Amino acid sequence: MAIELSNIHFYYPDRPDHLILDIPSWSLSEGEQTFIHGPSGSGKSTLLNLLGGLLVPSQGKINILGQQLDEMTGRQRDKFRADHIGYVFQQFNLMPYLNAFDNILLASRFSQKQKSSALESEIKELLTVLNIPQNDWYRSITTLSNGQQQRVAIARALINKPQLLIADEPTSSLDAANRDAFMTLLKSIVKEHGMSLLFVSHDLSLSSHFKRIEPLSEINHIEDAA
Amino acid sequence: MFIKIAAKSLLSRKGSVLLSLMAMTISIFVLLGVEHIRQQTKENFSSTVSGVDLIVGARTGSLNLLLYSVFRIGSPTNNIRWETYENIASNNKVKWAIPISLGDSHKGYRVLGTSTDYFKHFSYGKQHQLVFANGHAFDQVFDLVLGSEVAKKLGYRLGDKIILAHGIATTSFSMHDDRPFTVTGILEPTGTPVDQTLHVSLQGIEAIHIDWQQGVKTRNSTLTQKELEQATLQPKSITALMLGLKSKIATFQLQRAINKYPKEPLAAILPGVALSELWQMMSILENTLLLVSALVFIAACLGVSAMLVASIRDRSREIQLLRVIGAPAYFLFLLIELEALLITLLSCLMGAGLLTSCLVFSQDYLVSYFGLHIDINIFTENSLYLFAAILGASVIVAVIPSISGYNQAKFIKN
Repeated sequence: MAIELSNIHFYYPDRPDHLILDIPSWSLSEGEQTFIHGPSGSGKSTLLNLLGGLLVPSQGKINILGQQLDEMTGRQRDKFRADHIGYVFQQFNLMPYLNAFDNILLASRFSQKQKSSALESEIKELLTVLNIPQNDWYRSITTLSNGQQQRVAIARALINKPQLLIADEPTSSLDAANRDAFMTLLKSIVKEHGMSLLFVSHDLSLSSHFKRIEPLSEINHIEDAA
Repeated sequence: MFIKIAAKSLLSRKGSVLLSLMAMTISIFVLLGVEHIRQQTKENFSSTVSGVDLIVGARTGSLNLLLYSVFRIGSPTNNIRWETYENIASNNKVKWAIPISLGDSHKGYRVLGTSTDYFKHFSYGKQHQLVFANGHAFDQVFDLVLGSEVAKKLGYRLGDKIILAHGIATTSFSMHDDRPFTVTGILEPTGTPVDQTLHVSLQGIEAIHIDWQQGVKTRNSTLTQKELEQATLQPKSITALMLGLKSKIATFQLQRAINKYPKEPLAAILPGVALSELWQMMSILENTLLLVSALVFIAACLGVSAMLVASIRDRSREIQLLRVIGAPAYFLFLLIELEALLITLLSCLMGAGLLTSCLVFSQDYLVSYFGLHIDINIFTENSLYLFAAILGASVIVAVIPSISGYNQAKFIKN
């Protein structure tokens, strides 16, 4: 299994009376792609933070790629996240003061995987595959278009060859043409690398790209989460 | 990569970082400047005289005697009779004695009447003897030896005629214009008051004061220059004398004997002890200066800290992104510490550069107006300790924003 959740409860320590997530059971197989949708404030980001190990559940078990995330120390979770999980967000995907190349390089620095001398050529290859013009590689990231920035974000997410890719509203800042191009590219990369994909969005029109579609309300049993 | 992130992150906040950098640079400039000038002044003071075991003058405080005899600052309370000088100089414990006579000047520079023993025995710094850059010591009544600074500033050369003024005022109306001196020697720079002194023989001092009473010329001398040179110009009194002893053990014994000299009230001082006393007196001022400059630096450090704390609030997404790509929370702590360190390091470089530039441009001024020879090289052992302390202080002060960044990284909220 890529993801396996059982009996998850989550609330912030400063508000123990306010339960945000209650997930009795949920899983995602390796190589599977799923689309989860729900309105803002329904707990999507909290769920993703739990899956990435940025937050720990107040109760329950989180198993990612065969590893019990809730039993790891903070530092172990950081390493696991860097090695096995790729993230693409809606915005602020990249460090604004670094160029495209350095943004990808930075992501590789925290992973135990990427120590090869061919790292530089791998980054260049990824940027080429993702159709980022060579003269934009070392330019300030803020000078690139939204579409280019999202593609650099994918490259950043892929550099450590993760087995699980989490995409959190990654198309929200894109126009229709760029959004479709982005989805096609993302799907093909995920398929090519055999990754599991957890795609979260409030935009139901994107669900056409997926076979498995789930509203968050079916996963999270908190009725008043929104 | 780590340093690159910190540097680029700072560059992305140019405005606030530049202001912090400027405040820090100025504070480090002040701190380094005060410390460097303090050290240099101390070195200058302590190297002014060496090899002299005792300085003897009319009874007065040890600091006053030291100041007027060595530093040419202030005036003596009284003179010493020539017979007294001869008595002391002939003591069997005395190896050499240098008589000195002060009271005249030339364009603000002090004139020192002495014997040729001055050039043989007087030493400064680490037992450096006086060396002639040009010419030789005086051997005629109206010969004169210039300190290097006097020669340089006033543009004098060997053979030039110099008229001395009566008294020590910068502008004098009583000139010894009927008895000009001829420059026969110019000394190498010493970095001591010797450089700002004109040296003549005691006989020369006597010669220009013939027909002078109570500081006023009573009549024009009828003696010609030639007659004066041939006359026996025995000094009646001198201002002070410097003694070198055969054995250091005899120093205190001779000092006591001179202090109890029955024929006139005298004071004998050990130059090293008097220098220490002088420096101890000045230490209150130097410590105050150091304290003020340290407070300026702490204020600048707190400014950097405040700027970094304020930036944390604007960097929540950046922190979250770093965490998402696998950065541990302590990475944020270290990143903010590194940013503070980079600002301080750059400020150190800029402060040191600014100080060096100021020293290059003000070196002549400091020598001319304060007699201070300040070395342009500010990188001494002490300044390196100071740099280390500055960097250490910045690391400590940056703990506050670093903890703030760490907490934000540790406890991610949506």
